[in-house]
Amino acid sequence: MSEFRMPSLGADMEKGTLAIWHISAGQAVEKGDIVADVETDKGTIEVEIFESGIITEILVKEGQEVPVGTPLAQIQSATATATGDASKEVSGQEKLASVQAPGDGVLALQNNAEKVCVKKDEIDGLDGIRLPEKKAIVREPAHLRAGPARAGRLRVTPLARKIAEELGVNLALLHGSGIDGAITRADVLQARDLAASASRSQSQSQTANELVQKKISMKSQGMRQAIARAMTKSKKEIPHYYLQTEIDMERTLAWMEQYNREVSVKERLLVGVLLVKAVALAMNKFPELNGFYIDDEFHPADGVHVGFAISLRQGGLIAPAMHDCDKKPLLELMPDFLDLVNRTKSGKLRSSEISDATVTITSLGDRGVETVFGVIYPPQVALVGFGAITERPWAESGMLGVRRIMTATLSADHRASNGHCGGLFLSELKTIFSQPYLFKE
Amino acid sequence: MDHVELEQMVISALTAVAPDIEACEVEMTTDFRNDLDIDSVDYLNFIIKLNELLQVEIPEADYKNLTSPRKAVDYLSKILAR
Repeated sequence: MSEFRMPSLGADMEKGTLAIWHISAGQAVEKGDIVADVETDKGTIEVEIFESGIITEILVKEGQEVPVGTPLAQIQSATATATGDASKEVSGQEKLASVQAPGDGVLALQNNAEKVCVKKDEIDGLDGIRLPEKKAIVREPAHLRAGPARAGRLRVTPLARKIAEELGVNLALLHGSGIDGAITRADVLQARDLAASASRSQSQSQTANELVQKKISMKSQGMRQAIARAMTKSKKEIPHYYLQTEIDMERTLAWMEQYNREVSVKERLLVGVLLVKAVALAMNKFPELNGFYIDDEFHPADGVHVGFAISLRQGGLIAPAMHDCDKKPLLELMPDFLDLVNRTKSGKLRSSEISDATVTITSLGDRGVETVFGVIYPPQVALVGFGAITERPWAESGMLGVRRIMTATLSADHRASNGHCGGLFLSELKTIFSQPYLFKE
Repeated sequence: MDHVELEQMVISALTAVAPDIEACEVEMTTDFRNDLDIDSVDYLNFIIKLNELLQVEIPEADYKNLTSPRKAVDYLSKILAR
């Protein structure tokens, strides 16, 4: 018997809402089946199950919001019945989920302004999960916030205690500014004013904005915060190094244009899919750039799953993965690429696409930018950036001509690789783009 | 097919590939890329949609002639008249 848990759909995800169950208790499932829709900051994600078996119990109801790692359902796994639980392999997703929880065995739950830490074994013991109740005070500035485990009795002046009782202010949440940290009348009044202004601004915003507008802005705000968390983590923890090179795209583009002339509109190739394929081919030779840095150790990935950063029209950014790009032929990747981009923009991604990328590409070429130095998406160790393809003077074999040139960059994690390796990787990209027949293999 | 019908076709193809765009906010001179932030994937979807609606194969080399609804209508009316 094992548990199907709320997956971590990226390093930045802390919780998700179970929107729809596609299965019920007693039903048999196969690895890779879509079993639930989960609402996250990144939109609604179709969550796949990563083992085959029979669902014995549903633990979380539709509409319930739970932290990453919370058991959602019990599953009688097919492998467990055959080989016993002991030999059960920890899947990559589970590994990631446990690693991304901040601290050992501790999950961080976020509920409005409250950030409460709960021990993992406490969560495991609960049916579903109880989120911490909202406190009367909506948002407390740092100096008013109580430490979660302040030792000893509260020091409160008698007047402050009386006023607090009258006003309904929770003294346990205050930080005293008096002698020996005692809570004074001024502390209580300040807390009341803060709570009042917080609730006032909240009710104002509710009447001022239309509900729909608010929902959209909350969603993009949520995504903004998710991006902020991931990027801050990246820049705090990952020692990036950056390399740049210019690539002559003339031969590849001539080949692609010729191909596109011969096929119907629906079969045409885009430069984007060539970038994905080229990076995947190059990654085969540089496993140091393809994988995850977890627990002070680099773990090379099994396959090359290229994440492609897609800017959403309503704001925000998602980099879903295309699986096994090194192995799939280019012509098979193209419809997958189009489908993935379209589903990303309409918010219909699957959990494996959200969590499986082993390296990410960002391409700002459409907007005319020539060079982009990206921020690595943790726990990945490399990000490849592509700029606009522009006509530039180009010298080759002593001859000067005009060629279509693209700037490629690599941001890589110095803990996992060094500049020499990164340089060879960019050089390999150059070789691939100079030999477009490589795409056809 | 007259210009008005073509205009409607172009706008409906556009709003089909970028559902957040309201037909009423698109003017005939609106630039797909600069004003509406249409990227290369959106644009290919747009060309595919026009192909479905009008059965026209627009060569990639002609993409530069379809950068706004007005230009697209002019281009398509010429193609369809052939």
